[in-house]
Amino acid sequence: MGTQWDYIGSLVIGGIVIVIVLSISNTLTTTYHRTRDLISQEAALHLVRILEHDLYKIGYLTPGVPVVEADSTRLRFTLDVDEDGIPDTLGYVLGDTAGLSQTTNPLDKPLYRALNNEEPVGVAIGLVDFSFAYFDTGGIRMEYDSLKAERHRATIRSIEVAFKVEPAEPIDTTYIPVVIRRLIRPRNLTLW
Amino acid sequence: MGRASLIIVLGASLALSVLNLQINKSSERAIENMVAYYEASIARDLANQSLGYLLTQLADSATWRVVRPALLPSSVFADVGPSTILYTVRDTVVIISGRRIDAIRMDVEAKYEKQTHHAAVYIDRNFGIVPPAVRGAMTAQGPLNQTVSDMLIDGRDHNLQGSIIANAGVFSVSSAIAFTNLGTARIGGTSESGSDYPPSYPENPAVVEQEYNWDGTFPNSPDNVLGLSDGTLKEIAKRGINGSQYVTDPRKLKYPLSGVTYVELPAGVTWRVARLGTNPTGILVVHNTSLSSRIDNISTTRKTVFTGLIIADNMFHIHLDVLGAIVLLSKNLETVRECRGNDDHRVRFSSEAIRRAIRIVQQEGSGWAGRIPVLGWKE
Repeated sequence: MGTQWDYIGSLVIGGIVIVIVLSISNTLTTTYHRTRDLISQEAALHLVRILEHDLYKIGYLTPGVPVVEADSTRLRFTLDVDEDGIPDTLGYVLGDTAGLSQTTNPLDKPLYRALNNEEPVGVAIGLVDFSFAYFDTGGIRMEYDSLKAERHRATIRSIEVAFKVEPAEPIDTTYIPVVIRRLIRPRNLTLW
Repeated sequence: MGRASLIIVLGASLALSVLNLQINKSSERAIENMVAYYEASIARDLANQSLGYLLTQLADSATWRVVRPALLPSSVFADVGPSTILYTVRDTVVIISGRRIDAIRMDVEAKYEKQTHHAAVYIDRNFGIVPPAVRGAMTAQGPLNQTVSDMLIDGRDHNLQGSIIANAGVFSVSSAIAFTNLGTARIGGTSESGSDYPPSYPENPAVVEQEYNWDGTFPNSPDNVLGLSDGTLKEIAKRGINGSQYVTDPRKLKYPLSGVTYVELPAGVTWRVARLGTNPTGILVVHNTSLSSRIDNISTTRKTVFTGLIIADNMFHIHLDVLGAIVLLSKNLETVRECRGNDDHRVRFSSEAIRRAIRIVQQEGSGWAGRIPVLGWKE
């Protein structure tokens, strides 16, 4: 009789152990996913805050047409960062995948930010898709080709930033993305 | 065996709990990130909206300043929730591409929950307009030969302290008909090409504009001079804004004069020995619809300066100093009598004085857009 109880006890304990081990395995996977998600989310929020901080200041205390270069993956504009009366130039350029060849994700690219002639600094991680779009006073999307002319750049009133951030490492074989799209309407482009 | 099993179960449970805790932490942090971003966005919106509110206040009262940080009344944004907004409004100088500009700086610090956002705006301190109809320190449709007499007329731009602002002025005299300096007036100003010439007799012809072709567009009312619809100035004067007054009998004026002082005289009536009191300012209008009113012998108390814009149908015997400009609407100015004895008085053009005088008109708008020039907005 005692032996029978030993068997039953062992089965119960063994079952519990198996359930716990399976749960641990499952939880480990979930933890890994959540951590990756969190990293992507933080990277995306970090980037959007940097972009908002800079783009809202386009044309701040500088005369003339503030947008110097406008393309889908390049943007350069003037502003007076330190309010010293000397216009500064701030630029964003999207690099190519070769710039981040050390990561597992084959699609991620660096986004560089450069103030005046300083060395460009990467401001994003896990960026796989990124674009600027430009809109005029009537909210009409402007053709990139037309923006080569200064007189057209002078009519830019708002800029849309759209990007997708993925983790540097895949979960199983997939990369779970965070997608952000923001329309920024810098007041200095609409004051006059 | 039993004890070992218990240890394994407890250990595994502990590991599971730790992992679950980690998951919860990640979820919490993700939510915190989103909440922080949301709060930061609200703080930024609050800061920018507050600036809009404060700009309107400045447009309504150009001399308003708040040097020490003050709290914006919560009633302004009562529906937003737990927020505090501190602001200052100070005079400063801003340099834009090497050009120094007298400015007003507004700073706002908006706090919403745990997030704070700082925003600032620079405004050109000399806001307001100089009406295009003011082409000279004295602008007239009729003959100015006798009216100018032996005064000093200087169309160079002066600030409120009387210092010259180089190459920014207007003609000394601008007349729709020929002008001859009969009274040996000392005349100076800024030529059409933008060069300054100090007052002299004989004057440099470059600072006199005569026979200017208005092509029928010379203003026929004080409102027209400022580009306003007829009746606007009279309405402001009647409402008493910033000390404005409307009278049909000049003896009923109260001093000091400020805002819009509108004296509407019956047809053909002359306001003789017009006394403007001490340090009069603003826009002085002496007019009737037939352009037949006249001021004869005008002065201030203790030779203080009138600062602003005088728009009259007809003036003669100008025994006061003016910092701003004079516009005379009538074609029938004095052509016979001579006015001697006012060589100790001067009319000096001042765009700053005119802008200040005209702000009262701009206060009639709503909001701030179009009323005050924002130089830069730091969001």
